[in-house]
Amino acid sequence: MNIMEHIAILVVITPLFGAFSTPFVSLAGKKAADIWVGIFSGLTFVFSILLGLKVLRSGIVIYTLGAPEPAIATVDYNGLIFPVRILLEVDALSALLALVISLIGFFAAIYSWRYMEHDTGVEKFYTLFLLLLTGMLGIVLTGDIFNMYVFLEIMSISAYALVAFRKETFEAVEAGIKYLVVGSAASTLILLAVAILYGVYGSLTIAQIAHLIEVSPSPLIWGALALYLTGFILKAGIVPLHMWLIDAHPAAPSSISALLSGVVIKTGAYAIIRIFFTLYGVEVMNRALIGWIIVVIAVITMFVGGSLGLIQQDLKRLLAYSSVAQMGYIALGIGVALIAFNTTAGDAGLVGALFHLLNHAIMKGMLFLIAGVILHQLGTRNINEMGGLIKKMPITSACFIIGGLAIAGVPPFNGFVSKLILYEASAMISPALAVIAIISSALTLGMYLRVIQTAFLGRAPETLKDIRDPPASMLIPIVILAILIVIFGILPSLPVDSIITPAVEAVKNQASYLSAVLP
Amino acid sequence: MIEGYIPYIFAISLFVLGLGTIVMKNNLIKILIGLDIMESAVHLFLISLGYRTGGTAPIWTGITGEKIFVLPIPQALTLTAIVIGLATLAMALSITVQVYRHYGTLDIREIRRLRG
Repeated sequence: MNIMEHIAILVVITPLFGAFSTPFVSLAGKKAADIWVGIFSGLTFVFSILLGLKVLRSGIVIYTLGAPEPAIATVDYNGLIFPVRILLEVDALSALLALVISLIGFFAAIYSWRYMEHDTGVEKFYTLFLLLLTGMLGIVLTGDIFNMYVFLEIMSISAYALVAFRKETFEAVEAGIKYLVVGSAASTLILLAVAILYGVYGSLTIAQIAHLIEVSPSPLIWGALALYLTGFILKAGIVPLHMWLIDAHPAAPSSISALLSGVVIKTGAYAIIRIFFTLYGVEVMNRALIGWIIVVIAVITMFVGGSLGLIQQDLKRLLAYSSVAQMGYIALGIGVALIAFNTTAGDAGLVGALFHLLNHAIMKGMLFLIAGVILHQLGTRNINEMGGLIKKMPITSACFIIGGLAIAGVPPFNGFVSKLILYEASAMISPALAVIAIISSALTLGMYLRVIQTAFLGRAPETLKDIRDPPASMLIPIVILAILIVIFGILPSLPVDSIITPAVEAVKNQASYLSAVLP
Repeated sequence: MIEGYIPYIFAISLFVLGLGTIVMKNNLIKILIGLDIMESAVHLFLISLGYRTGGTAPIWTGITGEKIFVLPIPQALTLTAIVIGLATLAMALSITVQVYRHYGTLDIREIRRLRG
């Protein structure tokens, strides 16, 4: 079997197989389960890299399930050519997301080895963890809207279970049930949107529907768009549907918080991009109107996240508010790209949005892992109970300071570059927008400076005597992510030229996404 | 003409009913019932899309002559969606049991210790 031919499906089924084999492996002990999960999340990461290389080298990859020839999506029925099977369609945007997801997933798996050592039921944790990865990878790779819904539910249900995993604490249970109720309602809205599109066009393949929408837009598709947007705005944690995120992300075990804040909400952003630019296409919609709606929502999101984050005492809760604020920046980029599609400003908006998506996944993944280290070593999440950590755990503290400054947009870190691109893009639309974005970035800076000042600098309380850096398996993922932050900040052209620009081209080029499936 | 739309109208009314239940009720179990009504409404909507008047079940038995089949794809989609809905509901109810253990109530106005 040629691996490269089946690489797209391997990215999805590797974590799926790992998920359901982990309980059997764990019969041989926790150590075996640890290594098993490490192997499978590592393999997923390797396959994602290979998939990305294949996409960069030979364009869009099609993988049709159950077809005699995976690369051919359509059947010829008396001269009528149309796709019938479930298919994976991987362009540079999907490949970028898959890479980010499997990177953070791999590090979170390694980190979980020691972090989860005091918990019971770790094999179930690992199963849910790998299912969460499967769901996210499926969402970004699939080329079929119903399949996307199925993967969305795989992701969501395992996320609900993981948020409520420490069921002996009231916090996890309350956050879990809140997340579950609003999350399932959102999923149902998305399913209704899928049903409406199927009812109108009789197809589930994204490329086919996009083609039919272009040929004959029906008024019903706007209802479907509204349902889709509501659902995915909730999944992405954008204001006004962000309240579940503030409770759910801090309540989960920290390696899961890193995944939830780092990548799970990014799948919502991915779906919004995919729906706007590929499924509907910018030509059909009133893009100035929809773009401005997204921009307004984004601005409110930045302010709500930034200002409420300032008053938090709980470190993980503060990080969750910061995630809301940063999703606002990504939404801002998407909105600008819609308003000024195919101009310099629009392109810059997309580059900024996707680069910030990548950066935020790295930064927030790392910050939540560090919050987990602090919780693991100190036993508290309250910022006021911390102090002088930089003397006790120098490496962890240095990484937190790097991450905090990066997310606030301080040079020379990666967050500065992506935010700068977003400021430039929005300034070309309206200078006031850029000013607002800069002000809300100042809120984020204030938020992180307060944490750095109180928790890491200053004098250590008497209670924190025997604190030191965590074991290597927890420290190494954090350090690697911190190094990535610095590298992406000093050499931004490295990621932008190699992976972001192809993804932006893929987003803009709806025709090639369609012609890869339809002859 | 209107007869053809009755299933859709019914499905949409059920959907709104379910959504209203989620928004207006305070008991967690009732909210979950509302969630399930909403899901069932979408399933009904999907099934109605594939229905053809006078059609038989889409099972190929090799019979000859003209036969009208109902469309099988929405049925497959609905089956999948039902299974997913079941998983969600099972998850929801098991968390609800935990909620009751911690709070001693299912009134969502009292399940609010997380703030800020």
